[in-house]
Amino acid sequence: MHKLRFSVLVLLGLGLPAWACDDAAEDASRVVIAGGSLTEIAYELGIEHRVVGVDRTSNYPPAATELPSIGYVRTLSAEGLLSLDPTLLMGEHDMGPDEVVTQVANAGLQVVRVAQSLTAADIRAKVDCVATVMGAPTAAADALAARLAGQADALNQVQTDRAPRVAVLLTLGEAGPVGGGADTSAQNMLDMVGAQNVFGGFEGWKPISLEAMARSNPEYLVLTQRAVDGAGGIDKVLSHPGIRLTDAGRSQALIVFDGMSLLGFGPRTLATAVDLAMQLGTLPSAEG
Amino acid sequence: MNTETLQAGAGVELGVRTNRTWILALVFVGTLLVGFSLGAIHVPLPALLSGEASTLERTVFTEIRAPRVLLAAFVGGILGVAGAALQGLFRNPLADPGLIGVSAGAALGAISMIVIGDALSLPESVRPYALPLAAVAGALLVTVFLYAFAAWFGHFSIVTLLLVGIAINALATVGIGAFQYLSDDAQLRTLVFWMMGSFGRAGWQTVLPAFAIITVAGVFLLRQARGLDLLQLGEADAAFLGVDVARLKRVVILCTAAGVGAGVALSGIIGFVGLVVPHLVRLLLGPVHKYLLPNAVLLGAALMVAADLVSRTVVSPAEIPVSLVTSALGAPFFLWLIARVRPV
Amino acid sequence: MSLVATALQFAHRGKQVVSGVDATFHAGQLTAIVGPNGAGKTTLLRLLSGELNPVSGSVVINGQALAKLSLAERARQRCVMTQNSQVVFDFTVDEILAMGWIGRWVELQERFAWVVQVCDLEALLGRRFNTLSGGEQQRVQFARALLQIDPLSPVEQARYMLLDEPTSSLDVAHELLVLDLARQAAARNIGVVVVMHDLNLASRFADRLVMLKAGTVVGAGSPQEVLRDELLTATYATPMRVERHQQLNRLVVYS
Repeated sequence: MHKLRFSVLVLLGLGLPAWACDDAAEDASRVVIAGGSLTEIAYELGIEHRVVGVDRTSNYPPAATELPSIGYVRTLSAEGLLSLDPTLLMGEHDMGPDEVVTQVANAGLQVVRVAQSLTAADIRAKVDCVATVMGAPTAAADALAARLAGQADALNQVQTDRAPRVAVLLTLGEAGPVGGGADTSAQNMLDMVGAQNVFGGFEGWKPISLEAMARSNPEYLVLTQRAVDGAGGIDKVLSHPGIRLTDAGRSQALIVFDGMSLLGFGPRTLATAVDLAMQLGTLPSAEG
Repeated sequence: MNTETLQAGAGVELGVRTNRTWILALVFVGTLLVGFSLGAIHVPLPALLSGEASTLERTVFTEIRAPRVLLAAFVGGILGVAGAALQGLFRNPLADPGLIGVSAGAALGAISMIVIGDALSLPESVRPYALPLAAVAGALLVTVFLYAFAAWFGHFSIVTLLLVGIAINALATVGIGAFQYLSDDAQLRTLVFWMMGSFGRAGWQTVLPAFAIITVAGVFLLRQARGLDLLQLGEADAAFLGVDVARLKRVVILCTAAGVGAGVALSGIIGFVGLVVPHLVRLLLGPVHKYLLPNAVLLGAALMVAADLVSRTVVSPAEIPVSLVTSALGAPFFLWLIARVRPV
Repeated sequence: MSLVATALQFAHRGKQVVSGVDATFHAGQLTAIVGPNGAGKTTLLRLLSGELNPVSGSVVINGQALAKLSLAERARQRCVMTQNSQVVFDFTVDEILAMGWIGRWVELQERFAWVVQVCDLEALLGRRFNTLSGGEQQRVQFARALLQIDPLSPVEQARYMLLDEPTSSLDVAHELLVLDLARQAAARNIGVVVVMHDLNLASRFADRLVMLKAGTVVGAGSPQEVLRDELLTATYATPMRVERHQQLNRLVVYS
């Protein structure tokens, strides 16, 4: 059985543990990841064989869902985590509850909490962090960094003068579509692609009434795959009373992405942004 | 019947009760031991006692599992005895802190403190206590309202009590929903916890104050046994026998609210334990509160430790909400009870 | 030693139910409160028991104001048997009976055996109270009241039994048994106050009668003093006649 070093326990005894991204973990041979974007990065870096458990938001690539599940990123279980005999817990900013994170740190588990990523620069910093902490092969890390840098450069060419009016919808529930307002990852995505958020007038994710939906009148609708599946297909989405009356509905201007690649701000998100910008016409498609 | 046969009869009855109490106590101790020994990580108790366990095993046991199992026992015990005392107070077999809205009131209190607490800018030293206190205040508000409403009504029929409970739960849900709408992302994260119910956040620092509140509330409730018995004859008849009914009500309401509130603040809403446990104990030992109340503590604690064990082991390394387990057991029982009580 | 009501007044929802009742109930006597329906008999008993507080006037028990006594002290000096006997949970007869005992725990068994024997309750022991008939429940409630006042224990202070129609659901034999037990209690220096309807039983068992009409006392004294043709006819607003039965040697009321 792997022996945990108790110097870590002494160091982490006070306050909430947070390990810096600057140094490699003392032992990254058995890693538990809480946060879908971090799991994606680990797979991109080709170090997934060292991941022994992931949370429920880690559903890409599909192989990740085969790993033992430690539950939802915000409701982790201390003993369950430790039972995987990990050497490192790496989690998103919203990993919790805090009490559980403190407990596992007190039990000698090294904990790294990675800062939230909301911009292209953040994503690259996140990849650097995972590569450094987990000690990824330099070649893989450099290749991924170069790819992201290229995508970021492309996004710098986005034209902001036209600013198409876009609505980002998370789901199309019975209670009405849930739209992304200001201060959400949807807003950040729209900022990157030079679009205008029709729901910029409120903060957070909120249910939108059908009338408000019609009045906001977006030219484009950006939906998650889950929203489309939940509604029962593209046809059902187009005939949705809230969408039928909008310009986007009439011209069938629907753009669908995997939710995690669109809003997760992981390694796929910049590619998604480039794709979205081309579909919105804020980037010339020839450059793709 | 002469004195000898009476003594024999009473002796037999008392003997059966004593035996069954011992069985319950054994079940409680057994469940506690199983709760302590089982978990996602194998911790051999003998090795732990002899000091041969590894440091990881020891840390997992003392810092994670022990406070969690004990919290489950305390919360289960207080929910059991509070349910029994409330049923006695309302003279109504379907009174339960969850069903009649006391737990929801506590959750609303806790949630309101999470969302508006930051705006109150409380001193750092008061904050850890603000949340449990808010939960207790919410529970107290509901209980006092319920009793005032019952007094105004004259007496609650079983149906009225349940309907009022539905209304209070609905009101609390409105409040919780409103706070959810108002809360930011970080607050929402904390709120989710109260909707599910879990003992996963138990650490010594947080559970010890709750243990103190629950113990005091529980001891006071246990001491109301004779008053609650006599109350079953009717308020007037209880008073004729020397029971200060007004005081009895105050103590039961206050202690129920304090105990349930302190529990809810740490573990979220956990339904049906306060309903199921007193009924099982009455089936075993009869309705006399001298036996009912302490055994409701034992059985409530045992049941909750077992439910938490299920919650943290069946999908290990993840876990399922403990309220899911108790509701899965409790809801069918509730239906059976309604069929049996026939509250027309 | 006595239980004394002085100028008792009580109103419910603006209606005067008891208006200026003066009455004395002596220890060692059985006093029957009689009168037509709605005369205020039960309300008077509830005022004497302390359950209701009078609008004005006072109740004095053994020389002390009832209102000043603690609930526990009241419980030692008087027991009350109401007409209510609803119990929610499945208590056994034994448990309901034992609730009446407010004395020392060690003496319960002996007194319990005595009360079961004199009240003829052997057959009901061990049964669920809620499964009993109304009459059986009433007998258990009477026994519980008897146990509370504990006629066997030698106490200096006089004690009182306040009984509200204790035999309303009983068969003739048990009705006589209960009233006879009440008489025996009176013989042990206990003041027994019984609200009753049957004037013949009142004449047979009561030492004194207090007759109420519309919340006031219209007659008080021995059966001979109260059970008179003209008083009964006026009180019950129906023709009534009282005769002395030669063989039984007591007053018999005809209507």
